[in-house]
Parts: sequence; structure tokens; C-alpha cells
Amino acid sequence: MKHRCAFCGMEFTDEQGISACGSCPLSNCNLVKCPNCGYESLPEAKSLSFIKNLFSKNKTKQD
Amino acid sequence: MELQLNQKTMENHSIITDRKASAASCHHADAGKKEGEAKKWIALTGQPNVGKSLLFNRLTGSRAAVSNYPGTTVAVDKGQITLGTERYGIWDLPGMYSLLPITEEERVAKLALLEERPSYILHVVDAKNLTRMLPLAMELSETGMKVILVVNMMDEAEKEGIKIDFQKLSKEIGIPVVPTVAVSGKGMNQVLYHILNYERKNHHEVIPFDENIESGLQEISKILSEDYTIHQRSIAQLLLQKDEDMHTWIKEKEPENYTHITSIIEKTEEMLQESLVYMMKIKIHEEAKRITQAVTTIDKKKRINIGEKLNQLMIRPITGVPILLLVLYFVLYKFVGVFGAGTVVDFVEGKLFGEYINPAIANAVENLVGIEALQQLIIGEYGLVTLGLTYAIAIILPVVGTFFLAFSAIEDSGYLPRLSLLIDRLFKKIGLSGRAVIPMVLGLGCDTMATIVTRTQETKRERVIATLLLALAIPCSAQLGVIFALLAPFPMALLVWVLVIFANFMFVGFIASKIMPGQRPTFFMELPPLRVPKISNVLSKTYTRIIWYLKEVLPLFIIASVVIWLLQITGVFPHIINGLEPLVAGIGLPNDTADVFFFGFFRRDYGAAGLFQMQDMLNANQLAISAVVLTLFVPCVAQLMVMFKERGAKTAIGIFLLVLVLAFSMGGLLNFILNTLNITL
Repeated sequence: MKHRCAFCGMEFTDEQGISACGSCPLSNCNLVKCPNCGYESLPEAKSLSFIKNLFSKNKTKQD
Repeated sequence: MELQLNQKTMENHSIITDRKASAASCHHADAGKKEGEAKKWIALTGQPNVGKSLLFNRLTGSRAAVSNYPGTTVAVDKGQITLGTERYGIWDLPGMYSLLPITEEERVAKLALLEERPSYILHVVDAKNLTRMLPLAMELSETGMKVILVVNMMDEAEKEGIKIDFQKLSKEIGIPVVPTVAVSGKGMNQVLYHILNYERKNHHEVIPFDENIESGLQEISKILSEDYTIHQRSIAQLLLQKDEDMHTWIKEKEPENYTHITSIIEKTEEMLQESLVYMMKIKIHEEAKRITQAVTTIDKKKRINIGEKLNQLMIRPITGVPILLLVLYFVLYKFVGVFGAGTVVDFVEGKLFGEYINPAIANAVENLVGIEALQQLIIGEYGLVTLGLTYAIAIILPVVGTFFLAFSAIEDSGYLPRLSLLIDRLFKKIGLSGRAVIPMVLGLGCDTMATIVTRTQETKRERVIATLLLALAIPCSAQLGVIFALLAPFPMALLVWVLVIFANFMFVGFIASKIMPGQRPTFFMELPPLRVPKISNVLSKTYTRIIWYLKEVLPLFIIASVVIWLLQITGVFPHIINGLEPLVAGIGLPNDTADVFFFGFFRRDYGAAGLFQMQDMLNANQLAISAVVLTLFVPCVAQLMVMFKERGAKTAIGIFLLVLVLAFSMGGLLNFILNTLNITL
């Protein structure tokens, strides 16, 4: 999946967005880190992806 | 249609030389190609979103095969085109911003250019943003390769009243320039014409670096004894900028000269006030700006570029600071503080939880659970429902929900990088740079996460100062929202809180930067365009953040409730509170606020929620003092653990003690001043 850094605009892939949670003792939130500026963002929530997929499937069926 | 790539891996790359390695390389490059496939190839390069792929489709008729670059997972689109009697392969290389790569994709694009020796490079740029686009074009021109500058999106540029003198641009940059509109296919014939009739002057030095850097470039260029496919000056530029691939190549190729080259790099760097990369990037961008201004005219009547005007207003201190204050006032104070932590919390906590949910659960528990201790665990003063669930859902969720909504909109608009530039000068006074805006802004979401992000700071000194300031003076979103809600009815108390926190931030940062040795930080970044936030993006980000926050906060609030319940039934809790009471009494607060500070150590927002529930017991002066102490108070358990891990035990303990002493000292001082001067906020 491609990401666009919300801070510097850099485009990068999942692999390049280093998970920043490695050293955090409490969370496992799989943040994605921009390789250019270090800004972190959350990957899309699974439930949101599920809803989006549901709608896109419905739309495809209608088409 | 697929072009077979040679099978060498990334690890085995070595720069191709004309004289010694070209034959081997050609053999190598052609070895895997199928019969009848093109031997010459054209590289399509450019930043993302400049219409590169559209141009690729126009040239190849959309017949593309995708395969990974050897030894990587980076995909490269490949197609073919026949020009005259010859067939050419066309590779749509990954988007790149510079020859100095940051991502693997950029590195692949660079390696393909330097290793696979394209016959021609079509470098595509966005006509509307020449200043941002020209640096890479200039770097490519300096390589001496056959580059054609394709100035795309001319239709959009013309709509904005932008006119470009292409002849002048070609002269300035030393390569042919072709205007195109890839969407409609306009200019494609000109592109093909320039490929078939390629003309460029002898090597053209496009970027005039400062004297010291020029001297370093010349010295290195003279030392390089092999014949390379790119110009020595271009190689020297990459070496000075410490490009890892180039250093590996030259070390392998010319081991006898490598030590001398590194000594020239060190000597050059010593003569500069800032880092070599920074100085060279700045110069390249200055030159790009100069060339753009020299070749571009803008019909101001036609061009109503609000984005550009806003951009300038946001980064100039005289206008940027008032804009920042407006953003803080409307977004944090009005929306998060007054609306989120006030109106919404009143409804959810007061109505939903206070009148319906909590009484219903209390009733059910009293009827169903016979053991009193268990009843206490669920619905007691510090119970799972009365404390954990109510704090997490009824108080914190509306606050962070409104904060995340506002923050996502700000983030999507492109304001944050402008904020970095605006406060770069201010941050330099406290040993940081505009780069530190990233952890500071993320700290408003969660200070623990932001402490980890301090890794992105350039020097150890910056990392320690940023960690200290995060622990001391950056409240998390929930804490901030609750404080705004608490102090909103008392504007003077709010002003005092803002001034005390800001003064602490600056003073402690300033002292830390004086005590800690280290170089002055440097900061440079390209600004992405400003845009109107997309509602779908904002909602999607807000939803994702709320889900993340709930996943994180709910279990912790429940654990905290259980721990407090355990401490209470074992009789430890009252002792801890008793121990804290003299401290809170010393700063003029009622004994009950000791609970708040103890909660705050579990999580900052937990403490904030506690203070919120206690607001009726406190006057304006006490609210201001407790807000100051709670903001400056020691970081939560998670943040403390990360501080230990990231900065080491000595630094973490030092910061912890400093913050603890400062928090209560500031509270005491504020109480003393207010009482002595008989001020009622």
C-alpha cells in the first residue's frame, strides 16, 4: 500500500514506513513513519477498510 | 513487451565506466534480453504526480509490463516504441525528488540511471511548480547524460497565467526543453523530435556553488581517474553530499584515491558553518528559484493563486504568528476546548452517563453482585464503570474526538510544514530547529509516541532537548482540551496558564541549549502544496485515530481502575494520597487534588479527566495553578519508560526529577504571586 506523508508530502510504500512502535512498551498500533521527515501516521483502521471494500463491491455489483 | 533486466543484485552494483566496463556492462545488460527486443532505452524520470505515467502511456500506447527492479521489490513499468528504424525500450522509473535518494524507490531510479545507462532521459516536470521541480533537472543536466526536460501540464500553467520562456530555460539549464500537455497528447511529436535529433552543448555547469564547495568539487573531479558515464563534477557532488552508493562505488573503483577524496570532503565541511548537504541543497534551490524567476512571467490578473499567497502569509513571522494564534484560538480553544470538552462532554458525561448509563449499571450491579468489594471494583468511587469507563468514554473521547477531527483537517491542508518553517527561528534559540515541530505536534496526540519520534532529530543534543520539553511542557490532546474547557470561563486564568507554560518551554529549552554542547541545528524542507482538506480524508483519519485511541486508552483506564481498587482495598492508596497532600496543600490546592496528580502519573489524560470532575471544588486561581502543575507534572508511566529506553537511565531520571521539581515550584510560585498581590483571576 502507498502512503503520502501528511507532513512533507513524500510518497512511500508500506515497507519503507518503518513501524515506530518497536520500542513503545504499551501499544501495538503499527504506526507508519515517513522515511523523509519521520512524521508518523496511522495505517487505515481495518474496520474502515472493510466498510470501504463493502461499498466498492456494492458499487461494482450495481455497475 | 517486457524488457528483461540483467540479474545482478543491488549489492553487486558498481558504477559503469565508458572505457573499461562498458563492454562488459553492455553484454551484461543485453544478456537477459529476448531476441528482437530493444537495445536502446529511454528513461522517464520525475517527481510523483507530474504526469510521467500519462506520458509513458502516450509514448507506448499503454502497452506496459511491470516487473521488479533486480534485487528489489520496486516495480518498474516497461514498454517499447519504434523511432525511425530503431526500437527503444521505455522505462517509467519510480518517482524521485533528487539524485540523493531517501527511499528505496528513489534509489532504484538513481541506480537505473547510473547503472543501466539510458540512451535518453525524459525528465518530466510540472510547469506550475518549476521552482520545486528544477533542482532535480539541474542535477540531471550536470550528469552530462542526454536529458530532455519535458515541461508538462502546460494547459494548467496557462490557466494560472504562467508563461515560460523555453529557449531561455534551455540555455540556463543546458538541455533541450519541450512543453507538453500529456493529457491531450500535445507536444508528443516535439518530444520524439528531440530524441531523434538530440543536441546538447558540451557539459554545462548549471549550479554555481559557493567558493569552498566549488573548490572541493574541482579537487575531487581532478582526482577521479576513471572515465565515467556521468560527469566527474556530478560524481563529486554526490560524494560531497555523502551519497552511500557513490562512496561504495568510488571506494571499489579507485581505492588508491578514496582516502584523499574523503580528506577533501572533511576539509570542505570544516570550512562551512552548516553541513555540506544543507549548504548544497540550499544553493541548488536558490539557483532553481533564480532560474524560475528569470524564465517565467506571470499574468497576475489571470493568476489568482490563493494557495501561493496563503503560503507566503503562513511562513512570514509578521503574518504567520497571527495566523497561528487564530488557528490555536479557533481550533484548540473554541472547537476542542469549548465545544468538545464543554458542550459535548456535558452532554455525554452529564446526561448520558450521569442520568442513564451509570445509574442503570449501578442498579444492576447492586442487584446482581453480592460481594461488596466486587461492587466497589465496578461501581465504587474508583470503579471500572464510575472511573475507567466514564473517564475514557464520557470525558476523554469527546475531547480527543474533536481534537482529532480538527488536527486531521489541519494535517490534510499542508499547514504543518509551514508551521515548521515559521517557528524554525524561534526553535533555534532553544537548540532545536523547525524539524522539532514534528514531535511537538505529535506530542499533542500522545507524548509517548512523540518521545520515540525525537529520534528523527539530527543531533543527540536536539533529541535530549526535545525529550525534555515534551516531558515538561507539551500536554496531550485530552489534557489540553480539558484544560481549555476548565479555564474557558476564566480568560485571565487561561492567559496565565498559556504564559507560564510558554515561558517554561522557552526558558528550560534555552538553558538546556546553553548547558549542552553541540552544533547549531540545520533545517531544510521542501513544502508540499497547500490544499483544501478533503472531507473523506479528514473523516477517515479521524475515525482511524479514534479507533487507535480507544484501543489504547480503554484497556489502560480499566487497568488503572483495577490497580487503584487494589491499592485501596489493601490500604496503600490512602498512604500515597496522604504523601502527596502536603505537596498540593503547599501550592494552595485542596487535598482532594492529590488524587488527580496520582492519576496523571498513570496517564496524563486520566489526571485531566480527574481534574475535570473536580472543577466545582476549585476557584479560578486554583484551577490555573492545578492546570499549570498538571501540564508540567511528570510524564506518564509509558512516556517515562520510553524515555529510559530512548535516552538512557541517567538522562531519563534527570528529566523526571527536573520536571517534578519544576512543576511544583511553578505551582508554588504562581500561588505565592497571586496571594501576595491579592489577584483573583
